[in-house]
Amino acid sequence: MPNSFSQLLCMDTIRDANNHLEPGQRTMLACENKTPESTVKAALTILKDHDYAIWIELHEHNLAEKIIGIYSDPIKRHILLLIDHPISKDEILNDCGASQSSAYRKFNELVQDGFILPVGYTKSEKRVRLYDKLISKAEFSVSAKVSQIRLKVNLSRLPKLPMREPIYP
Amino acid sequence: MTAMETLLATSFERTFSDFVGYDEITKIKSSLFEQYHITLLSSIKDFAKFELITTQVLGLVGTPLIKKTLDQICKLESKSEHIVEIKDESLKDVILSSFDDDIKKQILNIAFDYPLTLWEIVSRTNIEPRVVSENMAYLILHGLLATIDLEDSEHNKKYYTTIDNFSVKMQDDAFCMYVTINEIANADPLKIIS
Repeated sequence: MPNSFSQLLCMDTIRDANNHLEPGQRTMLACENKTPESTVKAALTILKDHDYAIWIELHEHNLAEKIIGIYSDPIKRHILLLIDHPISKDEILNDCGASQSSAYRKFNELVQDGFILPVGYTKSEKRVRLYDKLISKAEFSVSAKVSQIRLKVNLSRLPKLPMREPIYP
Repeated sequence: MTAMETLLATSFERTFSDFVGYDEITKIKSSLFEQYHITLLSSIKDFAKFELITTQVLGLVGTPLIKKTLDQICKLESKSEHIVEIKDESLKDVILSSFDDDIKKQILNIAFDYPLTLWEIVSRTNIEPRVVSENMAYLILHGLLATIDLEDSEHNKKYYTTIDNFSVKMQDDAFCMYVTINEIANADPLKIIS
């Protein structure tokens, strides 16, 4: 059972859901605190719509806030907006308009949180790793009391084989 | 002073100043101070005064320039539901970062249902008054808290949250934000753009 933010959004979970869900179906995932008074700590729904698109809906407040935090960061948001096709890390860092050190740190955080994936290499002689974003569309609604999030998964960028271990740059 | 005027004031001042020449903006600032003893930013929060002085200084150009400025920073989405699209990037950042900050979010939540004084807000948090005060200053400066023409018996100003909620849509390279304006203090909170 997943128990952290990165794992909740891990590729294997999403791929499994995509493989097993029929259009219109949904599945709910939850993780628990490993404490004596174990309670559900976070929950999300993965659903496949009738266009075969996979959506993730977040129900648990803290988890939703963590994702909103990622999109609220101007550098991370700019990095995510920059990626519209598989792109090298250097291209992203050069174009994102922040200092190299900040951009590098934010880029690594996005990779660790599963928002950016390594998806292959350039075909040139010098092989350079390419990255793409996992979420192609994000919609969230926020008030001082409640947060709701819907994320559309970029299925074409989901690695075909199970990864099991996170890949860091 | 409506919630919308307060929310847009800082972005409006910056964008309007970019459109208007140095001499004109100086004349507008001087006239505002001479006639009302207020700054440009304060006048935008009290928009009728700003409009009047701008028309006096700029003549017929004034009104189209105000409209051009408003078009640059926001767009009315639904008048009945008080929804406005925010186009100004710095205002988007302010809204996102404020709702992403636990203390600011707590203050916005406390001042949401009815206007409260600074000390009433402080007393409803379990946070050190200095910290609440600092965060409130940020929210007031950036228009997320507005003052209302109400005071307690000791003449302390009351504040309320200008945003009811906001939604964000992010796809490809587009990042759109829609805010619902809090209507507790004004019957027509969108007056400035409608």
